[in-house]
Amino acid sequence: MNDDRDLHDAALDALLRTHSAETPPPAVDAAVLAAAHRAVDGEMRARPARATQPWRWWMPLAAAAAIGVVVIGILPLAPTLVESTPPATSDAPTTPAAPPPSATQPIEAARPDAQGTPMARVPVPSATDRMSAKRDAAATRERAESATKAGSAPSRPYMEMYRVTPEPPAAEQDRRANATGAVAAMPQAAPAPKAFRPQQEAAAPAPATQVPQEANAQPPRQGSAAALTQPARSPEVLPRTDAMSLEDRQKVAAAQPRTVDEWFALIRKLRSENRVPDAIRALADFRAAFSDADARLPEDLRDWAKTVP
Amino acid sequence: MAAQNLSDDSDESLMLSYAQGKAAAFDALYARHRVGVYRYVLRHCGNAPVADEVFQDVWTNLVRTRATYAPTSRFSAWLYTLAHNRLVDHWRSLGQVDMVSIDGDDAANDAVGALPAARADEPDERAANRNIAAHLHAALAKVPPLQRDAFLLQQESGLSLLEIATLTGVGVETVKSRLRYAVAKLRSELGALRELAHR
Repeated sequence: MNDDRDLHDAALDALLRTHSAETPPPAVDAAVLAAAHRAVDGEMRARPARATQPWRWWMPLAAAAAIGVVVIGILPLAPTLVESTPPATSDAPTTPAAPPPSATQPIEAARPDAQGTPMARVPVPSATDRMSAKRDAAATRERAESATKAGSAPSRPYMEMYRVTPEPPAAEQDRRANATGAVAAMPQAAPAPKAFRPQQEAAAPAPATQVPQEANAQPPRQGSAAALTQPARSPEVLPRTDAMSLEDRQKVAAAQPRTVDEWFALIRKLRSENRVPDAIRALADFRAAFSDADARLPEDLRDWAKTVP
Repeated sequence: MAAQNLSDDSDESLMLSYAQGKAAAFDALYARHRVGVYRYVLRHCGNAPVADEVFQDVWTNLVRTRATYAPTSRFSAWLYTLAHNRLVDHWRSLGQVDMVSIDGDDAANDAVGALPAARADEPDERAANRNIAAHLHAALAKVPPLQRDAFLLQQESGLSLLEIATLTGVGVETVKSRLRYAVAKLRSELGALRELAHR
């Protein structure tokens, strides 16, 4: 008890508690807290840095490896892509020094004449006919693509050629002008024939057959140099594909020739139906499909084929 | 929610949390002990600017050595150990570390007996006019550092005699002797004020 009284003095404790109002200045408080937080924040920042340090060194290697894989994977494909890219269509005149092969001349002749005279027009088909024709064209294109992939069909299917019927821009514009608004919106549902031309040409290995197709699709403009270089053509060889009905085109597409005999039958049929331009085209395609096409021709077609350059 | 959890946590768990990177735990610890530590330092130094510096150093040392903290004893004991050590450094820098003190019980009794009598004869008017706080500081300043240290540790930290003994590196009896001397000294210095506060 005596010890406790000597060690503690209640009056003294009360006096100290009552008259003790000292507190650390706010500036000191702020400095202490800031130092404490700074230390912890710095440590927390250092920890993730240390944790990710082992991961950082391989990141450039991973990026380089990824780039290498991409390059190795793409480079072998690059030549293929270039080869399969369809040649750009240009309005530039073709040089006379490089005349197209003879097989393409009849089709070249199918162009409008040098004065830009449009092809013989046929009555404008109705909107329903155009819609069904576009649907027909889409179906035909699908069949042609599948046949091309299978490798059993000729490099440029005959049906595709008929599908891309030469149609001068003037005639196309006239048709569109006559079409109703609802019909005018339809081309987006079925792609225009020209849109398929690159695919079509991509499947053709022989550039000689591509040139006439270009000529069919885009007749030269009036007064252009290309038009002046076109040879004069007789009315006999003017294309009359416009006269082909849709049913006939479907038949042609369905009866896509695959063998020599089928080609012969088709050419005979076209001749018998007095479709001279179609027959000429069929012959051109047959020549393109077979290198010894003329030798294979039967007697009845051989004499006629001699008149077709 | 998190603040309530922190306020309910013990000092030791807060310190461990802070050592693991939880800055909010330090805020809670600082709020609990800032006043006690500051008064402990200020009443030793008697000079506010110096006390501010020492006080800041104490907490800075705590921050720096947070990783070495082990809850083998009370956190307040560890905190006041840091403060005590910092004050010892301060005294050494001032050349006031005369650690030879009246530690022996016999010597303490002799010293207490030799203290001047309480100033009971001091006029009340004079005591009343004094700034009580300044009087307290002056009285504490007259207590030798080691006795004052033991007294202030007891007053501000709430440590037990054993903890104070451990903290100061002396025996419990020595702590008692120091406390006895300090209390007697303060009684003599603050006689009139003490009687006023007691009433």
